[in-house]
Amino acid sequence: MNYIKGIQIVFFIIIGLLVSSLSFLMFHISPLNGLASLIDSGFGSSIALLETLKVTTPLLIMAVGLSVPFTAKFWNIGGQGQLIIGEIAATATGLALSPYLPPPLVITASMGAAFVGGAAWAMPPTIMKIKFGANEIITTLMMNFVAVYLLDYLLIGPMEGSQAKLVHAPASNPIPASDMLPKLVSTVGLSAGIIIALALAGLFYFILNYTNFGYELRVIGESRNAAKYAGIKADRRILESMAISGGIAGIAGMVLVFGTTQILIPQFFSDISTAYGYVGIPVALIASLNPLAIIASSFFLAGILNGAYIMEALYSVPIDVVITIYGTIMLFSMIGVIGDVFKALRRWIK
Amino acid sequence: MNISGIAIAVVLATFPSAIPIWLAALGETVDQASGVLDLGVEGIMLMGAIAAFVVDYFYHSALIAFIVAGLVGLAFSAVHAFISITLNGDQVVSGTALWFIGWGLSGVIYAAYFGLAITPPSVPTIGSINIPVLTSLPIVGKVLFGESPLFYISILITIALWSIMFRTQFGLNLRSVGENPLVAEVMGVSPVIYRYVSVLFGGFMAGLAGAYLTVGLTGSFYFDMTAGMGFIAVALVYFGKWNPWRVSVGAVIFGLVYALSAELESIYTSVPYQFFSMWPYIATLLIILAVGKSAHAPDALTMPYVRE
Amino acid sequence: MEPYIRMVGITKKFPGVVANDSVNFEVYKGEIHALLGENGAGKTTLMRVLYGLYRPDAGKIYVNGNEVKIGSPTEALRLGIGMVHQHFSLIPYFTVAENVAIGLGSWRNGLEIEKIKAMIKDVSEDLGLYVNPDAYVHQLSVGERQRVEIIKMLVRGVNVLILDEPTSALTPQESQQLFNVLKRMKDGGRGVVLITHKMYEVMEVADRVTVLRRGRVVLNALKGEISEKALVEAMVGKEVILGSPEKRSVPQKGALSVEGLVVKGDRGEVAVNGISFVVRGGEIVGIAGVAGNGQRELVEAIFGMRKAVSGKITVDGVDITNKDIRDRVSAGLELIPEDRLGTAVIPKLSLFQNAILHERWWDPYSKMGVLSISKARDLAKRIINSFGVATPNEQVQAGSLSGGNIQKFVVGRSMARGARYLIAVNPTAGLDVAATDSVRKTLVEFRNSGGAVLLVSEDLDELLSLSDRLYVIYRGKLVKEFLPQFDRLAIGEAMMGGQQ
Repeated sequence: MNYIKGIQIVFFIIIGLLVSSLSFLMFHISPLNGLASLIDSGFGSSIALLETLKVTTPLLIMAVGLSVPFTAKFWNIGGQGQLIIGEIAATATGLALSPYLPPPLVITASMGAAFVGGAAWAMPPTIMKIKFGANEIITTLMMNFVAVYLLDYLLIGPMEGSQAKLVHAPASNPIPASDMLPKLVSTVGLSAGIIIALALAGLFYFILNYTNFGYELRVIGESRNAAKYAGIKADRRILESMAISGGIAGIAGMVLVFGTTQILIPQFFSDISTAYGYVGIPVALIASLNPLAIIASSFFLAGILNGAYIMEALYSVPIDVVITIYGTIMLFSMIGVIGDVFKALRRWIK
Repeated sequence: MNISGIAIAVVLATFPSAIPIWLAALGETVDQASGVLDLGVEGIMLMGAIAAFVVDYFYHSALIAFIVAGLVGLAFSAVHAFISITLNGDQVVSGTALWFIGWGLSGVIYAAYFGLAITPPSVPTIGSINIPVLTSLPIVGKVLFGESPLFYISILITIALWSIMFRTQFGLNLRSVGENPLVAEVMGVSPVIYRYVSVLFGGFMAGLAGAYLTVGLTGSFYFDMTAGMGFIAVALVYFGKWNPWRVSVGAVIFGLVYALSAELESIYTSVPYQFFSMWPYIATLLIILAVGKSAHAPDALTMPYVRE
Repeated sequence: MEPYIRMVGITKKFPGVVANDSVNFEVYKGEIHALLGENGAGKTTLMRVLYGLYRPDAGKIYVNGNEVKIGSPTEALRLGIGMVHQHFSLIPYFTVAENVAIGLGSWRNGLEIEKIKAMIKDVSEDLGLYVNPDAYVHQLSVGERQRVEIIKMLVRGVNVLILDEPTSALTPQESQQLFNVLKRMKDGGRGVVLITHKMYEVMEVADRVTVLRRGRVVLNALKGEISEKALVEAMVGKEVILGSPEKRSVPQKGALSVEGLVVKGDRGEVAVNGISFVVRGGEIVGIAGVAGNGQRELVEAIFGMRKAVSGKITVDGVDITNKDIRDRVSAGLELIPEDRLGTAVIPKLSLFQNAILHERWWDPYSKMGVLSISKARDLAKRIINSFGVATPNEQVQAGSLSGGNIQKFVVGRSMARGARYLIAVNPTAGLDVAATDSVRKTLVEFRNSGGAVLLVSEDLDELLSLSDRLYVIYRGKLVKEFLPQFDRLAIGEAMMGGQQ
């Protein structure tokens, strides 16, 4: 039965992809050609695949993190803010410790700092929900904006890099090359972050499906009353799940800086390429929050993102098109999640 | 600048900043009163913004621009209505998807018409309506009687919505659908029709709100120019406890917050601007905190209605 | 005289069951027609067909001599047919007048609450249906809510009013008031259909009676023409249903004891106000009371789903007052909650996932927080087999089972873990006769094997037939203890707060 549903979801995702490809028409590109070119650019060569894996890394980490509170139907839309704070914490820690400690310790400490930073940033909305019933969708989102401005300020203030000062482009000092995550494929710069990402996916597949913690989150998501009857401390589990989610989002930020960018730059939302906190939402949702399926969905959506960069360069199709595609895929995958779409429709028509 | 000068500048900027959130929040109020949460407002506002901008740019009619923006919003919300009402899908997921689509598509449309130009093109913004005599009153004259037409429209819609929701059979039926669609249906009120009407209205209003951003306020379109306003509008509905009047008060308070942070930013240049820019978002957090658990939300909010 | 409503050859099938099998049924104006039958006999189904909630698979309906198709309650109301369900359909945060006004009149109209109030006064005054139109429904008692439901129907000008088990949550005295209202409605020329399984209600108010058994009409007569004994025979046939348990076992050692318990309700009010009692092994202790007198808060506090403000709860002498549910379950306590699909099971999870809702804390179902799926499946299979849960396997979603099978599963789950103290809340509400039987049998066997049962129920008949003793709860206090032979009227009086 699960397989049938899985196939149904994939089917509707493909339809969503086809529908969203209609937007290519605005650029006088036939939708199917555009789609073919997009997919070819994302998955068509070994270089493209490696580039896609590079983008997959933070995306996969982020989506795995989001799937934890999502399982309890706690909608953490604040992944982006948590990622940014993770980046800040990791970069600051890395830069501060680099002169004194060997690289493995610097990396470990930075990752720890990123986890703590991201988790801490996830706490205010969570506590507001638990204590006052404040809608977490709104509060987590608001925290994103605050994080964006905080980062922006830090990069022209306390964390401003010496190079950046000269050229008046806000950025931090770079992480010393020796403290970066080891590269698996140096030509495209694919870092060991992908291993961390896969390990996290495996770990959380196990946690969500085979532990009391995962079971309890599921019960909370399905029915608060049942959770109470089952003796589940729902507030505590939500708090834990959000700490994990924020922490993992922070790690995604750390991996981004220590695996790819090396420096910290401002992140206004107009730049989708670094908005993994948002992109992670469709990645997690179209995979029905199953961490193993998230490996596939993150790779798939990363490829589209990658392909879209090439489309932008080749045909001036703006990168924004990926958000449209993600939204449409999310919409159609929802239709796939609904048990029997046609039955639902028939019942309604009656 | 002296204190009264600052005060006047802030007050003058309050309503223009309030209007987009105000319009969107009024629409969302009806949405939620019928039991449907539309998180797509942010995306729909962006679609309204780009639609109005394109229409005004090429056809030079602000009126048509607003109408088209409203209709685009309506069409977008129809998707949300179909998924959440007809297919009983998860309203949070569907709304999030719409937000993404609007977010991306507005940028795509912009690029399709105007390329990736560095300096954005602009259209003239609609002026304000100056009510003779009254405008010349000191201070309040300009604020209350020399505003954008959308200001007066917002007030009219607030009054109309309140009357409809609490003083008509239609409004009672609508609220009953939000509380318990099954009860409503047995009493001959179709939850499906009422919810569709509400969601479409909410979409129309969000479209108008977006149009105001481009055609009414700035004259240009920027990528992701709503910057969370749609979500602030959703927050205001909670603050306003599903009552158009209270929602309007909330919107004006927010206009004040925006105006104040912009004004202070220009005065206290020694303080990094980011600390002013983050104010509306922190204010939203505080406002949600202030509402606390006191409000009674419609019982069936976010609950799909499944007929037996 | 032509009947106002004539249902001819109505057949309604559900998967696996024929709920109505070519049933004929008539209602005249100016009479009270009792529709009598055991739980699950098809009474409610038949009336739901008439009210437009179900479509019949076969049969015809005539109203005033004209054949009609009734596709929805709205159409039924238009034809002058109204129905008051067992579970009220009122909006708690609306006033009485607003509730009455929903869907009344064209949507284009303004809302004139004063006019609505006048209409309410109009229809309710001579019937004795007193209720304050400005009160919010959540402030009203069960009896008052029922009156609002009836008013809702009367304002819509119904000629025939169907009431589904209207007295099930009322005290005998409130029931009496209701009957007076029904008699006045009859005298005013309206028809009333009273769905019931209680014999004395038929003898009390009905003019005509139709008995359904297993979806078929087995008897249709004027009340004067038939004896009570014949009615009973028609209703139950030759089956022997579980009546009062024959064997009263001797109380044993070990007890669930509650001392001076005070609990607050959702709105911060004192819902349980100093309750003390003891349930010993080998006895079923009933708690009778009108819904909303603190039963829910009492049960939740004992099981640990709600904080006790003060007082002491012990199991076998061990203080569990402030313990987690885990410790309570471990001490031998279990709860069969009232809300089956929202609390007792999670509909979207599989049966085996539901099986370990409490077991998941312990070996072999979990070790160091890691679950054993295979053990969970074994447990689910065991419950399914021992308690006759009809299901294809243990992997289907719990929500796909019928109410009766879900309840068997829930009861079985409590038994499987070897609980010795069981709290059961309305354990048979809404179940068909077979499932009711099975659940009650399980409770009695559990009692006979030395278990202690606290039975909280709104069904007085259930309490009277199962309890070894019972308390009446009123406004958060246990006002009186009763022992067999139970005095039904005295219990009713106590439920109304009459005897302190």
